[in-house]
Amino acid sequence: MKRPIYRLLLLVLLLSFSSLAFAGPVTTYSINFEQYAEFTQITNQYSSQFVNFTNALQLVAPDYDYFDFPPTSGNGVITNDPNDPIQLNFSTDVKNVSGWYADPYGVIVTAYNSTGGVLDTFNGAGVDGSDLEFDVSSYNAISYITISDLYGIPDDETVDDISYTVTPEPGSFLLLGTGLLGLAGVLRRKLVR
Amino acid sequence: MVCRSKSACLVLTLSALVFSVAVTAKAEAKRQLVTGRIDAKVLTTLRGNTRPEANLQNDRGPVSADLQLDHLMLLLQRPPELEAQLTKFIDDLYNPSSPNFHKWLSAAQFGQQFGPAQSDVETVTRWLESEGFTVNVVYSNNMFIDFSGTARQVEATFHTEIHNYEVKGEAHIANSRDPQIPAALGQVVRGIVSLNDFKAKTMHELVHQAHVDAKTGELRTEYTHTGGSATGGVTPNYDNANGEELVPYDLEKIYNIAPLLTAGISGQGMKIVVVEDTNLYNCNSTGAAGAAGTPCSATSDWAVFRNTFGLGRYTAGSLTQSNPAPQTGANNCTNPGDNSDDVEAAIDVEWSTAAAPSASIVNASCSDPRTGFGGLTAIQNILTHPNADNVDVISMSYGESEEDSGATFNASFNTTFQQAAAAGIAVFVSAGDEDAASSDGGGADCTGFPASDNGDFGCAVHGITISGWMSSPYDVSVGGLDFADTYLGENSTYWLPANNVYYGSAKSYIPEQPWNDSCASTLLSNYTTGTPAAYGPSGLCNTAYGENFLLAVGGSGGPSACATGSPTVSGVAGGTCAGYAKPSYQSAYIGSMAGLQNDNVRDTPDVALMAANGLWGHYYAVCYSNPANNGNGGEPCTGQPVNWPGYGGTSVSSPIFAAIQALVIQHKGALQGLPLARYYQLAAAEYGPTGSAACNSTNATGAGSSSCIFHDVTLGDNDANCQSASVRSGKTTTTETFNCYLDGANVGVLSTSNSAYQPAYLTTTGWDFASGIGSVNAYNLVMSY
Repeated sequence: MKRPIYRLLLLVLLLSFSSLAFAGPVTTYSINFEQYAEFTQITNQYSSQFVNFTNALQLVAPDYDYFDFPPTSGNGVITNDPNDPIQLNFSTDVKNVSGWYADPYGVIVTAYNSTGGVLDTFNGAGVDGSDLEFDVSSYNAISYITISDLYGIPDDETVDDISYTVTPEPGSFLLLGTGLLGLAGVLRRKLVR
Repeated sequence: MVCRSKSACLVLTLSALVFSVAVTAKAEAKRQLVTGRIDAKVLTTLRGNTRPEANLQNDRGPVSADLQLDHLMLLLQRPPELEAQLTKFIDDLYNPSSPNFHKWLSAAQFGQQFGPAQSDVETVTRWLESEGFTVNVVYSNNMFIDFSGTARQVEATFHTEIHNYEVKGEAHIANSRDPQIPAALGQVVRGIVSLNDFKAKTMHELVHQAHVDAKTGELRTEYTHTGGSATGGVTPNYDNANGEELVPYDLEKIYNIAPLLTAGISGQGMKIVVVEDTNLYNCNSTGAAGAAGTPCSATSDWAVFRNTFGLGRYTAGSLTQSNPAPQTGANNCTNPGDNSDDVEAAIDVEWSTAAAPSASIVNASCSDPRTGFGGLTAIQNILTHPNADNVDVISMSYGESEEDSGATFNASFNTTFQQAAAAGIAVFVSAGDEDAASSDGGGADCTGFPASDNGDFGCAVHGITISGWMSSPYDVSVGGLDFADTYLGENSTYWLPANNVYYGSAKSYIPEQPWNDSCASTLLSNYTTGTPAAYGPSGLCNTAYGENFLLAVGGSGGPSACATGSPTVSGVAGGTCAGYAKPSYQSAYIGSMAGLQNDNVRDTPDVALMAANGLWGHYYAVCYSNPANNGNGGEPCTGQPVNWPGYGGTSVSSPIFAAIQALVIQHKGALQGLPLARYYQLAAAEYGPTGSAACNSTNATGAGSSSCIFHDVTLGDNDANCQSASVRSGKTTTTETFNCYLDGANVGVLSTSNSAYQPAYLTTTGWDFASGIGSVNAYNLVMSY
């Protein structure tokens, strides 16, 4: 009987950790907008990093007003074009979205859950000639965020160096939990005997 | 051609035969104008073809008889009855109910149908050759003959002398009196286009130092600046945050071009030609400079301009440097390289691409012959190419008054633009940058002021005159405007406090006023003295402060007065001078469109756009990095564009309007030719006999957002400061006053009366000499055309 119990225990553990591996570990992604040619409309180019964009146009210094809207790193940024706001739609839940912006009038960054409920809001001051950081955090999973110019004017803000943390899917946690519970049960039975 | 049967072949052959006979018969039916023997002793004088500067005071003696004069242009003329037929034909080309509507003619067809008789052309050609000239090109339009010879041959054949002249310290050559030709040729030869080397004025103006701060309303006259050199080339220390410097984003917003670009109408497939006598500074900097059809490099000023201002996203846009050769004959278009006019070319190619960023821009340039204008050669050569090189619109930003250009030079443009109109090509020309005083080209020095006085830029002394390079009824004359937000104290209403990523900050259409840097401006006078009357001993023009604005500089316009004939007083409309007849597109709406003048002559401008050089805080950014011209605008295009050269002038408004018309053509999907019949029709419907309050530019909200196609400018004027002139006649010098209301002061204001204040010219409801129809809502124009 001993060997089958140990084998079962090993199986549960393997399943649990393989589920975790499948969902991916808790990973922080960063996008520095250095990959694409200027004036590329950024949409699903970063989908492998669990994010799609709307109203995001790639700009590359010096082919825009990089004096007032300097890149945080490298030469590339995105601007709110053709409309305001820029929207980031995450294909998996994320937390702790942050980035850098330049906007003479200021920005409003809002994080939403999957049903459109507001999770967090960041009101950023106007900045010209340098960048300021924004971040929206939540214990709840963020489904999408919007980065809006204070007056809703297109081509009036740039965003750079966005980062966010992808959290494992709830199902993976459930499976892991089940495995651990099973392990605990097996151990308990062994100790009781 | 393939015949499917013998009978079909026979029918086709007979048809072709009948057609060719008919065409030949039609060509031969033209009246022969050379009917008598060419007798070199029986002469006729080609009047109105001597420069006013060619006088005894300036004369420095005859040129060397061996001086080679290459590429002289002989302009021919058709019989009067054929001219009338051509006028009717062109009217029909633009009349939708005519069977000839939009049936454009090639150069050969134009020559065959509306040129002088072939036998006359051959007679004139043989005559030139018999006089020892080399005939280089007989254009297929049968209207121009390009020939070369020496000064000796010119003097012997045309019975004039070519002399050296010194004018304002510059050496020139010119004919000393009107040329003469054998009387037998008098009916077919219009004249020699030019026998002098006086260059036309390029219609741009550097940013002016004295200005009104758009943010504070403060008048500033300092000469300090952040870019450029200490003298001459000046970029004033304007504050970029005020949104004063115009960039493509602003232009597209203000004139409502932006929605067209969004809708995909950005000039794809369109070819816009700007004609020049220079190549661009750093276009095609590698390889053979100026080779025909060579694309400009990615590092050219044009590319930097496009990239900086976000136009790089329109990847179809291109710039080509071309030196177009004629279709036949010797190449008369030599490569001019880049010369002192290259800033003009930079302005033209950059601001045309700003309005139509996907269009192909062509800088078509030929070097100026020893006498004449290379740009005219470039246009002629293009028009005679098959399908005119698929050109859609042409813009030209050079000019000279009708009186100074002379009758034949004026006629050469009229003839050329007439052919363009028949070929379906729209020609846009700068109205001028001299207010209503084009003979003064910015103004002679005003008398009574110290020579060292920096503020003394000039006074008009020749009265009301307009450019003969744009007064033809067959081109669109584009005038100059300024934005009125500063004058109205409404800067923040129309400009955002900070720039966007493309350096733009305009919020919407902005009320407009004529561009006018002169102290004679009623608006400037009112702003500074509290009264619009700038004249009289206490008027702005006669105050110490007003000296900063002694300038005959602003958007030109006025009636054609000396397209033909000869002035009695040099540079002044008078003598046998006459203007072009009023074209049908203007005469048709007299009484039914507010403002149109019942004066029997062609009135200018037709339309206008922003062209200011900074007086009220608005001017255009231009990338022009030629270090050889440092001090006159040439600055590296680095750093914030507010430190780049800044310009105004109708040389900016003309290529922009040409580009807007290219968007019209793209939307229509076919050539539209001279658009004036349609422009005036649309404007007449909009303004009506009493004007349109909704489309009054000063009511910006209505004009900017409604269905208005044109904005009726009703604020301000293009009046210039003026003085009496010293007129020399033989040994006698007298003081005379031409269109100048002095009111007992040293400096007056241009007026249609010397004895009363009748300013030349105020804006009015509807059409007026200061702004024409007005400016445009591009989207509405394209959708309504």
